[in-house]
Amino acid sequence: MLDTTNVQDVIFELKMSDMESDISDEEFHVPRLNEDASDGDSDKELQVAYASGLLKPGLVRPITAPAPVINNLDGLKQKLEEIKQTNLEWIERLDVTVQPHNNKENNADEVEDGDTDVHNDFQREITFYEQAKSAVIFAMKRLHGDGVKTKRPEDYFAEMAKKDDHMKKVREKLLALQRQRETAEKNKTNFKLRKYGKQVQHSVTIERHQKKKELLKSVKKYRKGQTKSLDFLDEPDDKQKGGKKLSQLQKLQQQKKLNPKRASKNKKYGFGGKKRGMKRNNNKSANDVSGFKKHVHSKKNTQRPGKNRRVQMRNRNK
Amino acid sequence: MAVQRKRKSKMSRKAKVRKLNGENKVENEEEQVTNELTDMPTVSKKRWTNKQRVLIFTSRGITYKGRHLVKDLRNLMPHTKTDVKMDRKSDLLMVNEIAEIKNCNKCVFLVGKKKRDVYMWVSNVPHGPSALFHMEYLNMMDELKFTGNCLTSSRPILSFDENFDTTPHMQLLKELFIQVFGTPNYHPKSQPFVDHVFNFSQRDGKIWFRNYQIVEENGDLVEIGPRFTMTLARILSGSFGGPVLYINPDYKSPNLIRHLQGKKGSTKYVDKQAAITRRRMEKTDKTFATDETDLLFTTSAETKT
Repeated sequence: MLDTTNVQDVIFELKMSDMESDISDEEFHVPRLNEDASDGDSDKELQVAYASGLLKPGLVRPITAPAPVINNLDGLKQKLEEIKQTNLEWIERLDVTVQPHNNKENNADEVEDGDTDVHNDFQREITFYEQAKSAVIFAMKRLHGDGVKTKRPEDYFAEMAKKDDHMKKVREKLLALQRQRETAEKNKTNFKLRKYGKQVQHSVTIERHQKKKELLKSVKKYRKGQTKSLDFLDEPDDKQKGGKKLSQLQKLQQQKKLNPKRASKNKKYGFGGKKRGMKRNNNKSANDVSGFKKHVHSKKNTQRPGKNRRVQMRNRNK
Repeated sequence: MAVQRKRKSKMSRKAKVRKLNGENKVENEEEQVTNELTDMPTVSKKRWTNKQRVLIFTSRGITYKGRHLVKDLRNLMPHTKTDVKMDRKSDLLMVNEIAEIKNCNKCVFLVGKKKRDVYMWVSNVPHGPSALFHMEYLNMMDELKFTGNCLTSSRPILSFDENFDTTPHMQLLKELFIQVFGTPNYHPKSQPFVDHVFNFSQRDGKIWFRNYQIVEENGDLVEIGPRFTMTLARILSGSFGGPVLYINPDYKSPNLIRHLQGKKGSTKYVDKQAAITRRRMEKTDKTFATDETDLLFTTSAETKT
């Protein structure tokens, strides 16, 4: 086994910071002296490690084989010169290189970072679309300048890349999607209407009951002789202050005035039952001290005055 | 009991047509029935000068997406030819010979490995450079989410990202793409109008290909056709061989990725042991620095307390 004191001294000098996770081939990681010697261990490092006893004699396989990096710039440029078509005009090639600054001119408020997130599909596709759009605008201008016809006339029938049957299927799918959306919207509105209708119905029945009660009460009073006129039999005057005729539901809602305690209890326990998960905290809610009321928790009669002051007060009262 | 089937007479198509038209001889050109789609005369009298012929074919073991990609590309590009599937066991340099036989000067060769990975070689056949790509996120033209349509052999506009002008290897790729994917002007099978655009963008080290239909001249686009992402693996100086000009440092073959994923779990025990040994080595008996000379005058009674 290793002599632990020697190893400890060595370790405090060297940096064990970059230890890789998948060490399967080697038993001991060879610590690095310099972090900028990234292309493998230099001779000096190996000598130090061997002297300290960390590195055993024999073949030590590296953790990962360094990936070969070849970038033969001259060769690439030479090949480019070889295959370049210098004698051809632009019309033969129709290539457009789009600069991103063209997009930035138009959308000044949509500031894009250097590279948009690749994994955000929608954003990525939009950038491709914008690039293609700029290219098309540029190319069209140039082609029209050269006198090349780009738009297919309506009566020009030719073989298309996708057959008519396929396009039919595509159209059907789009229509189906649209129909789905429409029905979903319809269902939502229907649900809301039904709910409202139920409320109205409920309020109407309540009002009817109330009216009946009132009527009976007034009849009783009349019979008992408390009121002498028979005005209650006439139709009630519906006109309110503003002169507007309110709906039955609105009238009921106006009459209803919940006191705040009742309202809070309703919120907590009513209309959907007891709310589950009310007593749960996350980081934000635990650290939230906005509910702390100082005047509730502070001691009444705030500060007790000091001894001298108390003595004075006592003397004054005497 | 075997059913006796009538032997259908094998008549040529033209003979059938002749029969339908009556007993007239086919010497008059006017009475000859022309197939509207393939026998259409060339739209322009001008000759095509940019002679690009691309051979698109696959190796054996390709997935259905690879096959559809070949079909889609052949549909969109009139200057392409195809060949039968090549056996993967034969040498890669055989592709050069096949291209020569077909009289093609460019080649797009799709290789399918393990029935799941698709690679694409794009090469300038006689002497030129070739590039190997790993293909991902292949979507076919047939998918119903692509709602656009275009003329089958019209010339595309090729739109490139600004990243294609930065480094020499990207410039080389751009040149190669223009020559392979761009339809030559006045190609006999090409259609006259410009109604779609091939879009090449570089994102996250990969080249993304999109094909849009030009609905309006002001730039309204709808996506048509195949969609794929290419990760450059390497560029070779020769066609399917020769010295390596460029290796993409960020490229990891899918095999390697799968291998590493598999290995991740397997090293759990070994990592734990290594961590334990490291911890043991780092742990010291002394929690603070003490001078041994301080202990000189302590007696046994003091050390006990």
